[in-house]
This record gives sequence, C-alpha cells and structure tokens, in this order.
Amino acid sequence: MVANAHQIDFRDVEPAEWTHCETATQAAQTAFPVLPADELSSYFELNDVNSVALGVRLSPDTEVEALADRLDQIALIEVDFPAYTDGRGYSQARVLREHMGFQGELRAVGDVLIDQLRFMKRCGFDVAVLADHVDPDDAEAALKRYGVWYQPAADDRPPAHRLRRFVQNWEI
Amino acid sequence: MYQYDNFDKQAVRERAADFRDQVERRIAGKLSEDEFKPLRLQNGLYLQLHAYMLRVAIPYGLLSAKQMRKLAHIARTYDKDYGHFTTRQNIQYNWIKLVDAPDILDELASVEMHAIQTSGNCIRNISSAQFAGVAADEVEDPRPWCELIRQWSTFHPEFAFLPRKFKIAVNASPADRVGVKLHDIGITITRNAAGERRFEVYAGGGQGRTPMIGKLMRDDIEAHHLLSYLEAILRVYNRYGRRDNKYKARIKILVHETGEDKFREEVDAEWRKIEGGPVDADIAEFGRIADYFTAPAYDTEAQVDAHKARAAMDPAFAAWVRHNTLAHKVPGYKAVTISLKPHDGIAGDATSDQMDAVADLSENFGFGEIRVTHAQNLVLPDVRDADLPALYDALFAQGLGTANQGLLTDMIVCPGLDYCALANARSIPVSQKIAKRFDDMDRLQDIGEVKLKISGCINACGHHHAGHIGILGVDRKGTENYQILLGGSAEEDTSLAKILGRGFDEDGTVDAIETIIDVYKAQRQDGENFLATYRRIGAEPFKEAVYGG
Repeated sequence: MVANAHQIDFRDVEPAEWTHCETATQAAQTAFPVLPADELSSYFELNDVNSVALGVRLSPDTEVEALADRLDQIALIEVDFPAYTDGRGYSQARVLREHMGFQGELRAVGDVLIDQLRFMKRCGFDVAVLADHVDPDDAEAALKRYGVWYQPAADDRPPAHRLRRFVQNWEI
Repeated sequence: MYQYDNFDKQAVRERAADFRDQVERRIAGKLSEDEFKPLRLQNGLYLQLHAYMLRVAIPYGLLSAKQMRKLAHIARTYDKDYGHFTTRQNIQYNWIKLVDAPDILDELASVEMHAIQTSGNCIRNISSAQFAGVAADEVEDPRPWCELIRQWSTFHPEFAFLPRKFKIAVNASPADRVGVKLHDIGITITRNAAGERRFEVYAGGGQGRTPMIGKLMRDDIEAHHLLSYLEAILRVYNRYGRRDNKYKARIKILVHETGEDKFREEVDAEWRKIEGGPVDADIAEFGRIADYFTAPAYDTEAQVDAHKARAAMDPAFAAWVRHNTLAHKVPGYKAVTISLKPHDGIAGDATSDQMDAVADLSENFGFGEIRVTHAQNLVLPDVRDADLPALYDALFAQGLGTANQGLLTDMIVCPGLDYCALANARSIPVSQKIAKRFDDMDRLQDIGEVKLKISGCINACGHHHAGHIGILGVDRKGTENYQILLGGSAEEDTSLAKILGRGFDEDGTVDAIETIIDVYKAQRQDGENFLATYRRIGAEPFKEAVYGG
C-alpha cells in the first residue's frame, strides 16, 4: 500500500495489509492482493491460489457490470480517480452498491482532494485515501461542514424532502 | 415564489462558510491557485481578463424585490455599480475582489441566494420561461418542476464532476421560450390525449463550437418518474461522455456518436433499474413546492385596456405597449418586458439604481416579483393595464423605457473580449454600432421581429447559431473579424444558422447587416418576419447583395 498515506474512514472497515499486484500469478501467492480489474479472469483460472481475500483496482473506464459473477469473492474494490475532475468513479461506486449489491470495502484512491470527500461518502465509499499534499485536519473539518442533502444516494442518508415530513418547519 | 425553509437556509450557509474557509486558506498561501481553482469554480467565481467575475444563480430567472435590492447593494458595495444579466437568467459581477467574495456569499445567503453550481462541469442553474405562471398559452406553471429539479441537482454527489457543464431548461407552452432543443436536456411539459401530464424530454442539444439540435428521448415520462429519468440520462453521460477532449465532452457529442436510438436504449436500461426508487421524490414534496407558486391575489376588477386612452395620443407609449407587453392569462393584466438594450448602452447591464428602481416598480405595479429573461431583459409579470402609463413613465425616467423587445436592437450579446478570458473578439462595440445605425424607432418597427445574437468566440455564449441573424467574432491574424450567419431559431421551429460567407471588420459588419435588412424589406411578403422571408427565399439573395454578384 501507499506508505503513510492519510485516509479518511467514512465507515469502520476491517484493517488488512493489502498489497498491489500487477499479475494474477503474483496475486495468487499474496495474502491480501489488490489486482487490476483486467487481470481478474486470469486470476480465477488459476488452480494454486493462496490469497486470504481479494481486492480489485478499477480504472475509470472499467465496466463494473463485468465484475458481477465474481462480486461475492471480492472483499475490496479500489476506485481510482486519476484526476479529481474525472467523476466516473462516483457512478462506478453507486452502480456497485445500488445495482449490484456490493457489500465489501469500497475505497477511493488517486487525486482525492478535500472538496470531493463529501460526494464520495454519499456515493457509497467506505474509505478515501487522500492525495499526498492534502492536510487531513482540513479534510476532516470540511467533511463535517455539510449537513443538508437534497437527494438520496448510496449512503442511506435521508434527503431533505424526507426529513421535512418529520420536522414540519416549512411554514416559515 | 419558493421560500427557503431551514434546510435550504442551512445548505447555502454551509456553502458560504466553506467558501470563506477556502478563501482564507488561499490568501494564507495554504492553497495554490491551481488547488483553489476547482473550489472557486464551484462557487461561480471565475478569473477573467481584468478581475474575478462572480456569477450569481437566479433559479429559473425568478427574483423577489428584496433579492433585486440585494443585487443592487452588491453592485454598489463590491463592484463598479452595475451588474450584467446573462442568457442563463443569472447575474454576473465583473469586478470582484477575492477577499470580498465570502462576504458577498453571506449577503446572498441572507436573501436566499447563492452562486452554487453557476460554473464548473456540473448541473447548472435550471432555466425556464420568463412568462411562467402568467402566459395564457401554458399548460401549467413550470416553476415548481424547476424547483424540484433545482433541489435534486444541488450538491448532487454523483454529478459534480461531469465530462462538461450541463444545462437543463423547462418549458410548459406550445411556444418554446427556453430553447428546449438547444440544451443538454430540454423538457416540455405537455398533456397527452387523455389530458394527463406528461414530460417530453430532449437530450443532446447545444450550441458552442458544434451546434446540435436536441433529440426527443421520450414523450411519455410521468411526473413521479421525472427525476429517475433525469438521473438515468446523467449517469449514462457521466460514465460514457468523452473526457479526452473538452471540445467533444458535451452530451450532444455522446448522443451523436452513440446514435440517438442506441443512446435512448442505454438510458432506458439504466432507468428501468431506478424508476420508482428512492430518487423519485414523493409527490407530497412536489405539492409542498407547488404551494409556493399559487396565483397572487389578482384584482378581479382590473379594467381591460385601461391604457388605451394614453396610447391613442402617445405613439411612443403605444409602441412600447405593442412590443414590450404580452397578453396575460388574467384579463386586465399584462406581462411587461423591461428592455436592458438601450441604444447607447451594453446589452444586459443594469446599474444599481436601475435595479433598485425595478424592485420598487415590481412592488408598486405587481406583487414584488421580477423575472430575468434569456434574452437579457427583465420582466414585471403582473401589471394592470391601468398601471401601464405610470410604469412606462417611471421606466423611461430610469433609461429603461426602450420599446425594442423582439426588434433588431434587442440583441443578445456576450461580454466578449472586453471582459472574457476565452473571447477572440469584442462583442459590445459592434453591437453598439449596430444599435446606433438603426437608432430610429419607426425604422425598427417597420423592420419588425429580428433576433440578432452576437458571440465573441466560437463558444457561442451569445447564441449566434440561434439568431435569425448571428454574428460570430473571430481572431483573424491578430485583428477582430466578424462572420455573419443567417436563419437560426431557438424557438419551437428550432434551426441552426448558416454562415453567409467571409467575415468583415466592425464597420463592414454593420454595413452588411444593413444590406441584409434591405434585402429582407425588398423581398418580404404578407407580413413575413425576417426569418420567414429567409426561409422562403434562402441565402442566395442575401449573399449576392452582401458580396456582389
């Protein structure tokens, strides 16, 4: 894993010593490998697999639907944001959580900056690994600043219109 | 109009506090300009040629008198005493100091306003018809639906970093007053044969450097599926829209390259997974919003045509009534367009004093409501016929009485190279020269309806593709040059204008426009407007006249 990288946990996750692997054969001999998505089919063809749990790393153009058959064998999915401006990872996360029922750990990596965290949290990520130069205290502070959301997403947080029914404060 | 509840108030306050923190970190040097850029863009703050420009959202173009006074106050206190109303029904301030921006956002929040999502690659301000709620021809008031979409799209966690900006417009009349087919998504609210409400949803329209007319995705979307259908389109676009080239990143390119039918199938496949799910707001929430848009207490005794006596003896007033007022659904009332196109001014600009005056007039002659139009004018929606003379006199005294709505000098003009960092040429001077050349109300009225639209670069913020006459400023070997286009329309008969031929310098452009108008006047038949004549006779007669045989 990235050494000394600061990560923001949106939910408690089981800690594990994940190791990035480039090939399926390498991953098969690693306890907690994280494998590129396009190596996945080779990995599952191997007979001699000694991994304890499997992680997969997506690129923004990975078709997450292709993981459907193996999803219950995947413990961790890393969603890469090569640039903060590339928002495909948010849709990948929501599709994995809401359409495909992925229950494992969902982790945002790459160009993860402060202003993206609150969106990642809502799209179903468990963890965001901050880009190197981002101050984790600033990140935590910014994340706490937003309490109002207007739309349902992957985090079960009720949108404002549903809360309005309970607080009856709209006659102002 | 819609009133914020505590949730809405909290949302804009949180954003203002967040931005104050970001600006402090920027000024303290903890953030580089590169790191700060994405943060300021989420708050409508652009770095332009000479200063920061702040774009403030005016949802579907609707303002209260109190909000307009706040906009005037901001212009007076933090800018050079004026603001610029835009084709997206927003307002821009051109001379903002970074250190003042957090205070301005606080000022805006105090009147339920903000600058959220007025820039950046996200869902922008929802635009709508300037006569919503008062036009006689609409099937219903589109504004509650706009507000529903505004809330759904505000801070949408999945769609904050789309391939490119995303613009949605909502119309609810047979007459298209929003350019439905020239938006990323255009929505027309209709009734089906059984009289039930249905939404026609168009996608993939747009202007810019590759103008395209939007394609009808579905005409049968029901109210309780509107948000899930929008979310399905946005998700397909977010996943598959091009990100390799910013000039090919708008949804129009995706729809075009995927093919209209295949794109529709992909959206439908996504939609089937989410329709009726959590995103489809319960109809109770729509009812809550709609309750804010009930009709005001109209004067049931309002006298029809009470302005006629003045009109009979004052031709200037009569011309203003003819061009700048629209029939109202309530007898004895008119919707009044306040022209921000004086012949010696800058299209869309209003001074602080003018904004304050309009706020006062909206209360004296209406219910304290003001609209911003996509043609960069203002509207007072509920004026009694009997009040039209007094309103006209008051507007005239403020330099707001120009009777040119829909006429040649009612131009849409982008800020151009006088302000904009993207522009290739200035737009304002050529527009002013045209206004001066045609500065004769009798002549303008004789020419009749012409939509003239000017952009200072290929990005088309001045909508030149959609002009009956469009002007596109380009940079030709270091000098400003203007191409002329003819035949565009952003209305229900949407069409894209075509380039007439080689471009001209500023004065040559003004001469060419005059020649084009002369051709129209010589060729028009039976009350045809400019566009109808152009469509009947084609470009050739205009080309011959402008460039010689």
